[in-house]
Amino acid sequence: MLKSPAIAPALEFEENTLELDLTDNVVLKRLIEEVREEDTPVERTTAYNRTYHRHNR
Amino acid sequence: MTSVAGSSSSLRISEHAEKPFRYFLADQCLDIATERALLVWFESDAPWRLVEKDFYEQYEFSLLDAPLPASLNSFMSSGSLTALRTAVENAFQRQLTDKIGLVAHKLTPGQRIAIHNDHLTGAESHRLTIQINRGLNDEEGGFFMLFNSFDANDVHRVLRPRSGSAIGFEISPASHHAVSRLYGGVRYSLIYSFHAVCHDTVG
Repeated sequence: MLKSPAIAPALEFEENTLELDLTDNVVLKRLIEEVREEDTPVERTTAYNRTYHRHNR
Repeated sequence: MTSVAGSSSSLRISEHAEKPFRYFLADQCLDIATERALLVWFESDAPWRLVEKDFYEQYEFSLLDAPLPASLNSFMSSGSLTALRTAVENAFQRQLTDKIGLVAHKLTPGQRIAIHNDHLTGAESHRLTIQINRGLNDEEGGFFMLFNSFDANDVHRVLRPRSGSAIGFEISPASHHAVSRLYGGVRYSLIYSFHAVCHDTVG
């Protein structure tokens, strides 16, 4: 398993809750960094082209 | 309740939302037998292929083109697909065409899907994503994230990938979402795609 140092002590598994509590700023910041789109020139992000914005086809 | 995989299963919608884009959450979309059959197949001889794009990397394949195990015949029957389409139509109050897409996704540790919106004018209009896994805890990641804009800092909410749960959403320039990095386990999902009937008239 990959290391996930910020999450292990910060989150408690809630078996019946679908939504994750976002009050922990450290965890939230790490999640944001994980999904941030890097290297996206403005012209690409505004064009909503297939490569950059489409998924689940 | 609407049958998805057979008479014993249902699409149990627990919540509807209109902002930042139209979506619903469902607690349970698969009966246990179907969920197990899918997991066994996904973990054995399902025809996964690795797809690498700029904003994501994952394994995937189309269930409509794959040789299915007999245990999934009911799940993939036209009746089940039609019932599911009807449920989505009712949820969004939009008429959908007969055309349905269904692909499976697999994320393994280290993989993630960056923020995107799925939008392309003239293409699919609605999506239903069902989570399937053997139980992922928070340490293992793979959260489904929804955003208020294309800014990743602008988080709307974060959902655990609880097996059997689902999110249905209307695809638009505003339907920004992502999947956080997976750190352990395997995260499978079923992705249904639907097309809205166009009522635009000329003249």
